[in-house]
Amino acid sequence: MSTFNDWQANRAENGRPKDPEQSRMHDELERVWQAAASTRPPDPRTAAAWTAVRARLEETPPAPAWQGWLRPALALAAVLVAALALWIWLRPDAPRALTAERGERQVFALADGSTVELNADSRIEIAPAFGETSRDLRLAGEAYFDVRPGALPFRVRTEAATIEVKGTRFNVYARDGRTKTTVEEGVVLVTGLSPDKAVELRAGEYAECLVGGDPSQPAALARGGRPDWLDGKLVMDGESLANVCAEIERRFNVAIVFEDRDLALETVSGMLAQKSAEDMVSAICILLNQSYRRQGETFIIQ
Amino acid sequence: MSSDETLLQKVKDGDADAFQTLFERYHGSLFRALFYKYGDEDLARDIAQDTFLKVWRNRQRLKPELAFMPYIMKLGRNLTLDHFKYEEVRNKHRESLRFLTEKQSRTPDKDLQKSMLEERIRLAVADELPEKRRVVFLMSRVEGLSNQEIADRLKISKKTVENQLYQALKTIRKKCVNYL
Repeated sequence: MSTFNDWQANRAENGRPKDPEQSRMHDELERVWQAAASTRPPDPRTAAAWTAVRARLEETPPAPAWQGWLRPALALAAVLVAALALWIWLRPDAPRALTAERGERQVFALADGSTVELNADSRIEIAPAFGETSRDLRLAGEAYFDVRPGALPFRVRTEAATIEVKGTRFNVYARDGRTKTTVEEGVVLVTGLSPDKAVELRAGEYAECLVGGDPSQPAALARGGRPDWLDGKLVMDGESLANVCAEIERRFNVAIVFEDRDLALETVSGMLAQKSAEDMVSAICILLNQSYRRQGETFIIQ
Repeated sequence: MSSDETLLQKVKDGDADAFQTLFERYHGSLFRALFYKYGDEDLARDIAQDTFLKVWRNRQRLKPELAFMPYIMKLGRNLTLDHFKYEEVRNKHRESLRFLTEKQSRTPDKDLQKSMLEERIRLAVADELPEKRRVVFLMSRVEGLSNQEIADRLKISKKTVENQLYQALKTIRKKCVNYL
Protein backbone atom coordinates (compact mmCIF):
# COMPACT_ATOMS: atom_id res chain seq x y z
CA MET A 1 0.00 0.00 0.00
CA SER A 2 2.06 2.86 -1.16
CA THR A 3 -0.22 5.21 -3.05
CA PHE A 4 -3.52 6.92 -2.63
CA ASN A 5 -5.00 4.65 -5.24
CA ASP A 6 -3.90 1.47 -3.49
CA TRP A 7 -5.44 2.78 -0.35
CA GLN A 8 -8.65 3.86 -2.06
CA ALA A 9 -8.88 0.50 -3.82
CA ASN A 10 -8.58 -1.27 -0.49
CA ARG A 11 -11.32 0.90 0.92
CA ALA A 12 -13.60 0.27 -2.03
CA GLU A 13 -13.24 -3.48 -1.76
CA ASN A 14 -13.60 -3.32 1.96
CA GLY A 15 -10.40 -5.24 1.95
CA ARG A 16 -7.58 -4.71 4.32
CA PRO A 17 -3.95 -5.42 3.76
CA LYS A 18 -2.85 -8.74 5.22
CA ASP A 19 0.31 -7.45 6.82
CA PRO A 20 -0.66 -6.30 10.36
CA GLU A 21 1.49 -3.16 10.21
CA GLN A 22 -0.04 -2.19 6.85
CA SER A 23 -3.46 -3.03 8.14
CA ARG A 24 -3.09 -0.74 11.13
CA MET A 25 -1.91 2.08 8.91
CA HIS A 26 -4.86 1.51 6.63
CA ASP A 27 -7.26 1.88 9.54
CA GLU A 28 -5.54 4.97 10.89
CA LEU A 29 -5.55 6.70 7.54
CA GLU A 30 -9.22 5.87 7.26
CA ARG A 31 -9.96 7.44 10.64
CA VAL A 32 -8.03 10.58 9.76
CA TRP A 33 -9.83 10.73 6.42
CA GLN A 34 -13.22 10.48 8.08
CA ALA A 35 -12.48 12.80 10.98
CA ALA A 36 -10.95 15.42 8.71
CA ALA A 37 -14.32 15.89 7.07
CA SER A 38 -15.84 17.06 10.34
CA THR A 39 -13.11 19.47 11.48
CA ARG A 40 -15.07 22.56 10.71
CA PRO A 41 -12.91 25.59 10.09
CA PRO A 42 -14.73 28.91 10.61
CA ASP A 43 -17.61 29.47 8.21
CA PRO A 44 -16.44 31.70 5.36
CA ARG A 45 -19.94 33.33 5.28
CA THR A 46 -19.73 33.66 1.55
CA ALA A 47 -23.21 35.15 1.09
CA ALA A 48 -22.56 38.00 3.51
CA ALA A 49 -19.13 38.54 2.01
CA TRP A 50 -20.64 38.80 -1.46
CA THR A 51 -23.13 41.42 -0.28
CA ALA A 52 -20.25 43.46 1.13
CA VAL A 53 -18.13 43.05 -2.00
CA ARG A 54 -21.00 43.81 -4.39
CA ALA A 55 -21.59 47.11 -2.60
CA ARG A 56 -17.98 48.07 -3.27
CA LEU A 57 -17.69 46.86 -6.85
CA GLU A 58 -18.27 50.25 -8.40
CA GLU A 59 -16.37 52.24 -5.79
CA THR A 60 -13.56 53.01 -8.19
CA PRO A 61 -13.75 52.36 -11.88
CA PRO A 62 -11.29 49.73 -13.06
CA ALA A 63 -8.01 51.18 -14.16
CA PRO A 64 -8.02 51.61 -17.92
CA ALA A 65 -5.90 49.05 -19.71
CA TRP A 66 -2.79 50.55 -21.28
CA GLN A 67 -4.18 51.69 -24.57
CA GLY A 68 -2.23 51.36 -27.76
CA TRP A 69 -1.03 54.94 -28.02
CA LEU A 70 -0.19 55.39 -24.38
CA ARG A 71 2.72 52.99 -24.30
CA PRO A 72 4.84 54.70 -27.01
CA ALA A 73 3.96 58.07 -25.49
CA LEU A 74 5.28 56.94 -22.12
CA ALA A 75 8.41 55.53 -23.72
CA LEU A 76 9.02 58.85 -25.46
CA ALA A 77 8.50 60.71 -22.19
CA ALA A 78 10.99 58.42 -20.48
CA VAL A 79 13.60 59.13 -23.16
CA LEU A 80 13.05 62.88 -22.77
CA VAL A 81 13.40 62.69 -19.00
CA ALA A 82 16.60 60.66 -19.36
CA ALA A 83 18.02 63.16 -21.84
CA LEU A 84 17.17 66.04 -19.50
CA ALA A 85 18.79 64.25 -16.58
CA LEU A 86 21.92 63.65 -18.64
CA TRP A 87 22.06 67.29 -19.63
CA ILE A 88 21.72 68.46 -16.05
CA TRP A 89 24.35 65.96 -15.03
CA LEU A 90 26.88 67.21 -17.59
CA ARG A 91 26.46 70.90 -16.80
CA PRO A 92 29.68 72.32 -15.37
CA ASP A 93 28.09 73.36 -12.09
CA ALA A 94 26.38 70.03 -11.60
CA PRO A 95 26.54 68.72 -8.05
CA ARG A 96 29.44 66.42 -7.41
CA ALA A 97 28.49 62.91 -6.40
CA LEU A 98 30.31 60.60 -4.03
CA THR A 99 29.29 56.99 -4.17
CA ALA A 100 30.01 53.64 -2.61
CA GLU A 101 28.85 50.75 -4.76
CA ARG A 102 27.37 47.55 -3.44
CA GLY A 103 30.06 45.56 -1.69
CA GLU A 104 32.32 48.53 -0.92
CA ARG A 105 32.85 51.27 1.66
CA GLN A 106 34.38 54.66 0.88
CA VAL A 107 35.86 57.49 2.91
CA PHE A 108 35.89 61.01 1.47
CA ALA A 109 37.33 64.28 2.72
CA LEU A 110 35.03 67.21 2.05
CA ALA A 111 36.13 70.70 1.05
CA ASP A 112 35.49 72.08 4.56
CA GLY A 113 37.74 69.51 6.25
CA SER A 114 34.87 67.27 7.39
CA THR A 115 34.97 63.61 6.50
CA VAL A 116 32.25 61.29 5.42
CA GLU A 117 32.33 57.52 5.29
CA LEU A 118 29.82 55.86 3.01
CA ASN A 119 28.36 52.44 3.71
CA ALA A 120 27.76 50.12 0.76
CA ASP A 121 25.23 51.15 -1.90
CA SER A 122 25.10 54.79 -0.79
CA ARG A 123 25.40 58.11 -2.55
CA ILE A 124 26.00 61.71 -1.61
CA GLU A 125 25.46 64.73 -3.84
CA ILE A 126 27.34 67.84 -2.95
CA ALA A 127 26.17 71.28 -3.98
CA PRO A 128 28.69 73.17 -6.19
CA ALA A 129 29.05 75.94 -3.64
CA PHE A 130 29.80 73.54 -0.78
CA GLY A 131 32.10 75.15 1.76
CA GLU A 132 31.70 78.65 0.29
CA THR A 133 28.15 79.76 0.90
CA SER A 134 26.69 76.65 2.41
CA ARG A 135 27.55 73.17 3.56
CA ASP A 136 24.58 71.31 2.08
CA LEU A 137 24.54 67.80 0.78
CA ARG A 138 22.02 65.17 -0.10
CA LEU A 139 22.21 61.55 1.03
CA ALA A 140 20.60 58.36 -0.17
CA GLY A 141 21.83 55.33 1.73
CA GLU A 142 23.91 55.37 4.88
CA ALA A 143 26.80 57.58 5.89
CA TYR A 144 28.81 58.51 8.95
CA PHE A 145 29.82 62.13 9.23
CA ASP A 146 32.64 63.69 11.19
CA VAL A 147 31.91 67.36 10.82
CA ARG A 148 34.53 69.99 11.43
CA PRO A 149 33.08 72.90 13.44
CA GLY A 150 32.44 75.95 11.29
CA ALA A 151 30.33 79.06 10.93
CA LEU A 152 28.26 77.61 8.11
CA PRO A 153 25.64 75.10 9.18
CA PHE A 154 26.31 71.61 7.86
CA ARG A 155 23.09 70.19 6.45
CA VAL A 156 22.34 66.64 5.32
CA ARG A 157 19.14 66.29 3.37
CA THR A 158 17.45 62.96 2.81
CA GLU A 159 14.12 62.22 1.22
CA ALA A 160 12.48 62.33 4.64
CA ALA A 161 14.45 64.77 6.78
CA THR A 162 17.07 67.47 7.07
CA ILE A 163 19.78 67.05 9.67
CA GLU A 164 21.60 70.20 10.68
CA VAL A 165 24.76 70.41 12.74
CA LYS A 166 27.57 72.68 13.76
CA GLY A 167 30.32 70.19 14.49
CA THR A 168 29.79 66.62 15.57
CA ARG A 169 29.98 62.96 14.64
CA PHE A 170 26.79 61.27 13.58
CA ASN A 171 25.35 58.61 11.32
CA VAL A 172 22.45 58.92 8.91
CA TYR A 173 20.60 55.94 7.48
CA ALA A 174 18.27 56.96 4.65
CA ARG A 175 16.68 54.12 2.74
CA ASP A 176 13.17 53.10 1.72
CA GLY A 177 11.58 56.33 2.87
CA ARG A 178 12.99 56.03 6.38
CA THR A 179 15.70 58.25 7.79
CA LYS A 180 17.34 57.29 11.05
CA THR A 181 19.82 59.68 12.59
CA THR A 182 22.14 58.58 15.40
CA VAL A 183 24.52 60.91 17.18
CA GLU A 184 27.85 59.85 18.57
CA GLU A 185 29.06 63.25 19.69
CA GLY A 186 27.67 66.79 19.74
CA VAL A 187 24.18 67.95 18.89
CA VAL A 188 22.18 67.80 15.66
CA LEU A 189 18.81 69.14 14.66
CA VAL A 190 16.50 66.85 12.66
CA THR A 191 13.66 68.41 10.72
CA GLY A 192 10.99 66.50 8.83
CA LEU A 193 7.89 68.02 7.33
CA SER A 194 7.29 70.97 9.64
CA PRO A 195 10.12 73.16 10.96
CA ASP A 196 8.39 73.71 14.30
CA LYS A 197 8.40 69.96 14.97
CA ALA A 198 12.17 69.64 14.63
CA VAL A 199 13.93 67.45 17.15
CA GLU A 200 17.26 68.07 18.81
CA LEU A 201 19.45 65.00 19.24
CA ARG A 202 22.34 64.71 21.65
CA ALA A 203 25.15 62.18 21.91
CA GLY A 204 23.83 58.63 22.32
CA GLU A 205 20.38 59.44 20.97
CA TYR A 206 18.55 58.66 17.76
CA ALA A 207 15.35 59.67 15.97
CA GLU A 208 13.53 58.26 12.98
CA CYS A 209 11.65 60.15 10.32
CA LEU A 210 9.43 58.80 7.53
CA VAL A 211 8.87 60.60 4.25
CA GLY A 212 6.21 63.26 4.71
CA GLY A 213 6.35 62.98 8.50
CA ASP A 214 8.08 64.55 11.45
CA PRO A 215 10.93 62.97 13.39
CA SER A 216 10.19 60.79 16.39
CA GLN A 217 11.16 61.99 19.85
CA PRO A 218 14.81 61.41 20.74
CA ALA A 219 15.42 57.95 22.16
CA ALA A 220 18.50 56.53 23.81
CA LEU A 221 20.65 54.17 21.77
CA ALA A 222 21.28 50.82 23.36
CA ARG A 223 24.92 50.69 22.34
CA GLY A 224 26.26 54.23 22.14
CA GLY A 225 26.35 56.37 19.06
CA ARG A 226 28.97 54.67 16.96
CA PRO A 227 27.34 52.85 14.04
CA ASP A 228 27.93 49.10 13.79
CA TRP A 229 29.09 49.11 10.18
CA LEU A 230 32.14 51.31 10.85
CA ASP A 231 33.58 48.50 12.93
CA GLY A 232 32.52 45.76 10.56
CA LYS A 233 29.65 44.53 12.66
CA LEU A 234 25.95 44.10 12.11
CA VAL A 235 23.79 44.77 15.13
CA MET A 236 20.24 43.49 14.88
CA ASP A 237 17.81 44.87 17.39
CA GLY A 238 14.48 43.19 16.75
CA GLU A 239 15.06 43.94 13.07
CA SER A 240 13.12 42.05 10.42
CA LEU A 241 15.13 39.43 8.63
CA ALA A 242 14.31 41.15 5.33
CA ASN A 243 16.08 44.32 6.50
CA VAL A 244 19.03 42.45 7.92
CA CYS A 245 19.53 40.51 4.71
CA ALA A 246 19.15 43.63 2.59
CA GLU A 247 22.03 45.12 4.56
CA ILE A 248 24.20 42.02 4.03
CA GLU A 249 23.33 42.13 0.33
CA ARG A 250 24.54 45.70 0.10
CA ARG A 251 27.70 45.22 2.09
CA PHE A 252 28.87 42.18 0.14
CA ASN A 253 27.07 42.65 -3.15
CA VAL A 254 25.39 39.27 -2.91
CA ALA A 255 21.78 38.19 -3.20
CA ILE A 256 19.83 36.46 -0.47
CA VAL A 257 16.50 34.87 -1.28
CA PHE A 258 13.96 33.17 0.91
CA GLU A 259 12.18 30.06 -0.19
CA ASP A 260 9.49 30.89 2.34
CA ARG A 261 8.57 34.56 2.03
CA ASP A 262 7.08 34.61 5.52
CA LEU A 263 10.48 33.92 6.94
CA ALA A 264 11.66 37.35 5.81
CA LEU A 265 9.28 38.92 8.33
CA GLU A 266 10.72 37.04 11.26
CA THR A 267 12.51 39.41 13.65
CA VAL A 268 16.05 38.79 14.82
CA SER A 269 18.27 40.22 17.53
CA GLY A 270 21.97 39.83 18.10
CA MET A 271 25.31 40.94 16.73
CA LEU A 272 27.19 39.51 13.78
CA ALA A 273 30.86 40.05 13.10
CA GLN A 274 31.38 40.91 9.47
CA LYS A 275 33.82 38.43 8.00
CA SER A 276 32.10 37.25 4.87
CA ALA A 277 28.57 37.12 3.56
CA GLU A 278 28.62 33.37 4.00
CA ASP A 279 29.59 33.67 7.69
CA MET A 280 26.74 36.08 8.30
CA VAL A 281 24.16 34.05 6.43
CA SER A 282 25.20 30.89 8.20
CA ALA A 283 25.06 32.64 11.61
CA ILE A 284 21.55 33.85 10.86
CA CYS A 285 20.50 30.39 9.76
CA ILE A 286 21.76 28.95 13.04
CA LEU A 287 19.83 31.65 14.91
CA LEU A 288 16.64 30.76 13.04
CA ASN A 289 17.21 27.05 12.89
CA GLN A 290 17.14 27.14 9.09
CA SER A 291 19.55 25.95 6.46
CA TYR A 292 20.88 27.58 3.31
CA ARG A 293 22.53 26.68 0.07
CA ARG A 294 24.82 28.77 -2.07
CA GLN A 295 24.73 29.27 -5.82
CA GLY A 296 27.53 31.59 -6.85
CA GLU A 297 26.79 34.92 -5.19
CA THR A 298 23.25 33.93 -4.24
CA PHE A 299 22.30 32.43 -0.90
CA ILE A 300 19.02 30.58 -0.69
CA ILE A 301 17.61 30.27 2.80
CA GLN A 302 15.32 27.27 2.96
CA MET B 1 -21.93 24.60 -14.81
CA SER B 2 -19.56 26.95 -16.61
CA SER B 3 -15.87 26.20 -16.53
CA ASP B 4 -13.55 28.61 -14.77
CA GLU B 5 -12.08 29.61 -18.09
CA THR B 6 -15.48 30.60 -19.51
CA LEU B 7 -16.32 32.51 -16.34
CA LEU B 8 -13.00 34.29 -16.26
CA GLN B 9 -13.39 35.36 -19.88
CA LYS B 10 -16.84 36.76 -19.04
CA VAL B 11 -15.49 38.55 -15.99
CA LYS B 12 -12.74 39.99 -18.12
CA ASP B 13 -15.45 41.35 -20.41
CA GLY B 14 -17.16 42.98 -17.41
CA ASP B 15 -19.88 40.43 -16.61
CA ALA B 16 -20.83 40.94 -12.95
CA ASP B 17 -23.01 37.80 -12.81
CA ALA B 18 -20.08 35.66 -13.89
CA PHE B 19 -18.04 37.38 -11.21
CA GLN B 20 -20.62 36.44 -8.59
CA THR B 21 -20.49 32.78 -9.68
CA LEU B 22 -16.72 32.85 -9.49
CA PHE B 23 -16.89 34.50 -6.09
CA GLU B 24 -19.24 31.86 -4.76
CA ARG B 25 -17.07 29.11 -6.15
CA TYR B 26 -13.78 30.32 -4.67
CA HIS B 27 -14.47 32.60 -1.72
CA GLY B 28 -14.62 29.73 0.77
CA SER B 29 -11.42 28.14 -0.47
CA LEU B 30 -9.56 31.43 -0.35
CA PHE B 31 -10.88 32.32 3.09
CA ARG B 32 -9.76 28.97 4.46
CA ALA B 33 -6.38 29.17 2.77
CA LEU B 34 -5.80 32.58 4.38
CA PHE B 35 -7.22 31.52 7.72
CA TYR B 36 -4.97 28.51 7.96
CA LYS B 37 -1.96 30.44 6.77
CA TYR B 38 -2.23 33.38 9.14
CA GLY B 39 -4.40 31.96 11.91
CA ASP B 40 -6.50 35.12 12.10
CA GLU B 41 -10.16 34.85 11.20
CA ASP B 42 -10.94 38.58 10.86
CA LEU B 43 -7.86 39.18 8.78
CA ALA B 44 -8.80 36.26 6.53
CA ARG B 45 -12.29 37.71 6.02
CA ASP B 46 -10.98 41.17 5.13
CA ILE B 47 -8.25 39.96 2.85
CA ALA B 48 -10.56 37.50 1.06
CA GLN B 49 -12.96 40.35 0.24
CA ASP B 50 -10.20 42.72 -0.81
CA THR B 51 -8.68 40.03 -3.01
CA PHE B 52 -11.90 39.60 -4.97
CA LEU B 53 -12.32 43.37 -5.26
CA LYS B 54 -8.84 43.51 -6.70
CA VAL B 55 -9.69 40.75 -9.16
CA TRP B 56 -12.69 42.76 -10.32
CA ARG B 57 -10.87 46.07 -10.55
CA ASN B 58 -8.00 44.56 -12.47
CA ARG B 59 -10.20 42.25 -14.49
CA GLN B 60 -8.70 43.36 -17.78
CA ARG B 61 -5.48 41.75 -16.70
CA LEU B 62 -7.06 38.35 -16.02
CA LYS B 63 -5.62 35.39 -17.87
CA PRO B 64 -8.59 33.02 -18.24
CA GLU B 65 -6.43 30.12 -19.37
CA LEU B 66 -4.53 30.01 -16.06
CA ALA B 67 -5.74 28.42 -12.84
CA PHE B 68 -7.66 30.93 -10.72
CA MET B 69 -6.98 29.58 -7.23
CA PRO B 70 -3.18 30.02 -7.25
CA TYR B 71 -3.73 33.50 -8.70
CA ILE B 72 -6.01 34.66 -5.88
CA MET B 73 -3.82 33.02 -3.28
CA LYS B 74 -0.94 35.09 -4.56
CA LEU B 75 -3.04 38.26 -4.57
CA GLY B 76 -4.20 37.47 -1.04
CA ARG B 77 -0.68 36.89 0.16
CA ASN B 78 0.51 40.18 -1.29
CA LEU B 79 -2.45 42.07 0.17
CA THR B 80 -1.66 40.58 3.56
CA LEU B 81 1.95 41.70 3.28
CA ASP B 82 0.83 45.18 2.20
CA HIS B 83 -1.56 45.25 5.11
CA PHE B 84 1.23 44.62 7.56
CA LYS B 85 3.56 47.01 5.78
CA TYR B 86 0.97 49.74 6.11
CA GLU B 87 0.54 48.98 9.78
CA GLU B 88 4.28 49.11 10.13
CA VAL B 89 4.57 52.56 8.67
CA ARG B 90 1.61 53.79 10.65
CA ASN B 91 2.99 52.60 13.93
CA LYS B 92 6.60 53.35 13.05
CA HIS B 93 7.25 49.99 14.59
CA ARG B 94 7.76 46.59 13.21
CA GLU B 95 6.17 44.91 16.22
CA SER B 96 2.96 44.29 14.32
CA LEU B 97 4.80 42.05 11.91
CA ARG B 98 5.04 39.52 14.66
CA PHE B 99 1.41 38.65 14.01
CA LEU B 100 2.51 37.21 10.75
CA THR B 101 5.32 35.08 12.01
CA GLU B 102 4.05 34.03 15.37
CA LYS B 103 0.74 32.61 14.35
CA GLN B 104 -1.89 33.46 16.89
CA SER B 105 -2.20 30.63 19.29
CA ARG B 106 -5.15 28.52 18.44
CA THR B 107 -6.93 27.95 21.67
CA PRO B 108 -8.59 24.56 21.57
CA ASP B 109 -12.21 24.88 20.59
CA LYS B 110 -14.38 25.08 23.66
CA ASP B 111 -17.00 22.99 21.97
CA LEU B 112 -16.69 19.81 23.94
CA GLN B 113 -18.26 17.74 21.23
CA LYS B 114 -15.21 18.28 19.14
CA SER B 115 -13.01 15.34 19.78
CA MET B 116 -9.36 15.58 20.58
CA LEU B 117 -8.64 13.87 17.30
CA GLU B 118 -10.40 16.53 15.26
CA GLU B 119 -8.59 19.27 17.14
CA ARG B 120 -5.35 17.47 16.48
CA ILE B 121 -6.13 17.20 12.79
CA ARG B 122 -6.97 20.88 12.61
CA LEU B 123 -3.61 21.76 14.13
CA ALA B 124 -1.79 19.37 11.83
CA VAL B 125 -3.57 20.82 8.78
CA ALA B 126 -2.67 24.33 9.91
CA ASP B 127 0.91 23.76 10.95
CA GLU B 128 2.26 20.75 9.12
CA LEU B 129 0.97 20.90 5.57
CA PRO B 130 2.59 23.03 2.89
CA GLU B 131 0.15 25.60 1.58
CA LYS B 132 -0.68 23.97 -1.75
CA ARG B 133 -1.15 20.56 -0.20
CA ARG B 134 -3.37 22.12 2.44
CA VAL B 135 -5.56 23.70 -0.23
CA VAL B 136 -5.98 20.35 -1.96
CA PHE B 137 -6.75 18.64 1.31
CA LEU B 138 -9.33 21.24 2.38
CA MET B 139 -11.01 21.18 -1.02
CA SER B 140 -11.38 17.44 -0.66
CA ARG B 141 -12.30 17.06 3.00
CA VAL B 142 -14.10 20.33 3.79
CA GLU B 143 -15.65 21.26 0.46
CA GLY B 144 -16.21 17.64 -0.52
CA LEU B 145 -14.94 18.11 -4.07
CA SER B 146 -13.97 15.05 -6.07
CA ASN B 147 -10.35 14.54 -7.03
CA GLN B 148 -11.21 15.34 -10.63
CA GLU B 149 -12.93 18.59 -9.62
CA ILE B 150 -9.92 19.63 -7.58
CA ALA B 151 -7.62 18.79 -10.48
CA ASP B 152 -9.74 20.96 -12.79
CA ARG B 153 -9.81 23.89 -10.39
CA LEU B 154 -6.09 23.91 -9.77
CA LYS B 155 -5.16 22.90 -13.32
CA ILE B 156 -3.05 20.02 -12.08
CA SER B 157 -3.38 16.33 -12.90
CA LYS B 158 -5.68 14.02 -10.99
CA LYS B 159 -2.63 11.95 -10.18
CA THR B 160 -1.05 14.96 -8.47
CA VAL B 161 -4.21 15.54 -6.46
CA GLU B 162 -4.14 11.93 -5.32
CA ASN B 163 -0.49 12.15 -4.37
CA GLN B 164 -1.04 15.37 -2.46
CA LEU B 165 -3.98 13.90 -0.57
CA TYR B 166 -2.06 10.79 0.30
CA GLN B 167 0.99 12.74 1.48
CA ALA B 168 -1.27 15.00 3.53
CA LEU B 169 -3.01 12.03 5.10
CA LYS B 170 0.27 10.43 6.02
CA THR B 171 1.60 13.65 7.57
CA ILE B 172 -1.56 14.19 9.58
CA ARG B 173 -1.67 10.59 10.72
CA LYS B 174 1.85 10.87 12.02
CA LYS B 175 0.89 13.92 14.08
CA CYS B 176 -2.26 12.30 15.43
CA VAL B 177 -0.87 8.90 16.12
CA ASN B 178 -1.49 9.17 19.87
CA TYR B 179 -5.15 9.92 19.32
CA LEU B 180 -5.96 7.14 16.90
